[in-house]
Amino acid sequence: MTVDLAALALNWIATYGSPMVAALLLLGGLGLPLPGSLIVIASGAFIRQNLIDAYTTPLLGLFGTVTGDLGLYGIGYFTGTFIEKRYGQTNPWQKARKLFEQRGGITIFFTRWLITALAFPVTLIAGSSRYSFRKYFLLVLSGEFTWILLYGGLGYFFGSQWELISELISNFTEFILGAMLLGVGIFILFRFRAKPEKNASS
Amino acid sequence: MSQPTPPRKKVSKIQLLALGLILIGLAIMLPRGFRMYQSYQEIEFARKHQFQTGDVSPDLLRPWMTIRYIAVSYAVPQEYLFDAVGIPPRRENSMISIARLNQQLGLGTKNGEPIVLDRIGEAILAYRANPVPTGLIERQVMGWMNLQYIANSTGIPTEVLFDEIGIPANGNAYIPLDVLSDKLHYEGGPRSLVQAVQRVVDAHSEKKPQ
Repeated sequence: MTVDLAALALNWIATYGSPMVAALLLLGGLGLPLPGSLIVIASGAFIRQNLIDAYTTPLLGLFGTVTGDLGLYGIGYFTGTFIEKRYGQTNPWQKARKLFEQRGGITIFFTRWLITALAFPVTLIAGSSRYSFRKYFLLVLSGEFTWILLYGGLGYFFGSQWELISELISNFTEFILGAMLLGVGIFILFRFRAKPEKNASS
Repeated sequence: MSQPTPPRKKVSKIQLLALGLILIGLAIMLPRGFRMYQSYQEIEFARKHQFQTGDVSPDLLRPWMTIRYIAVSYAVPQEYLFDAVGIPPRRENSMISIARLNQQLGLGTKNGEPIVLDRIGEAILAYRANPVPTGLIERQVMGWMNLQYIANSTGIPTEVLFDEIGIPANGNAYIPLDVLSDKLHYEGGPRSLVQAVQRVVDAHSEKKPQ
């Protein structure tokens, strides 16, 4: 018999219940490559089928994933000390930090539930760039709450068809990531083309 | 004498980066878009074929289905399906997809489909030819079960179940109890209907000689 990580995680959830959901989401929040969205969708379906508890699972799941996010922020914060010491006073670093302080909020929120593949680097950047902890905590809490409510709700709604909806969502989030890269590429291309014309007219 | 060639437009690093991002973006989007369309088609497939009407062909089995989904849709006891596939009858095994089960068992594919799917199809046909009440492996009636599934598992005829619970049989045999209670506006909701079915099942199992 061969074992894949997702199947193993699902078996553990069915055996140990909501504490296992919390533990796995915590590890996922810390950056371990676990299928977080699949776990949340499956948990919703397992709740529907009376396999795990309907009250403790979302609460412990939220607690686990937020704790993982805070832990990773802490790792970024403390390892960022070295980078801060070395480059903190340089102009590009300060500019980047200011930009993340201004625009990071929306990035943190959406990487919690929509573009989850980018959650790991964004959290590390938030920590190392000393993004306001209070703002970070509130954004993470609201983003992860959306994730659990939306994805868990879909799993609950689709019940025994959860694997199908999980596949659809997995492809959708990756599709969004691709669309973002495409958008950034087009933006850079147009911005670059516009510049020489300006120079020519001046 | 050769004519002077016009100066070539240089592609800057930033343009290359932009093109790279566009290509990577497209390379991610296109296959995902196609797979999303396929998943959508499968969702439509389940809706279109109305698994709640019963007497569904095993040809309609799909790798994303779980043992529980198949057990209820085809009204074949889970225990029978577990035996047919050769896997331990555990709760977690009934809730993961056939594709995942097949991968866990390392069984490979036959005509592009997981071998487990083939075995389940054969088991459904065998069960229909010779139905065996295995008992409820779940030990209790649950909201996701339908009355046909309960009847086939326990050996209590569906007509008896409908009569004793006091609900109409017309087209309701394959509807899960939690959906059926909403459809019939059953007094007390799904929990009450599940309890009513449980009482009937308990009464009949007490009557059975040991």
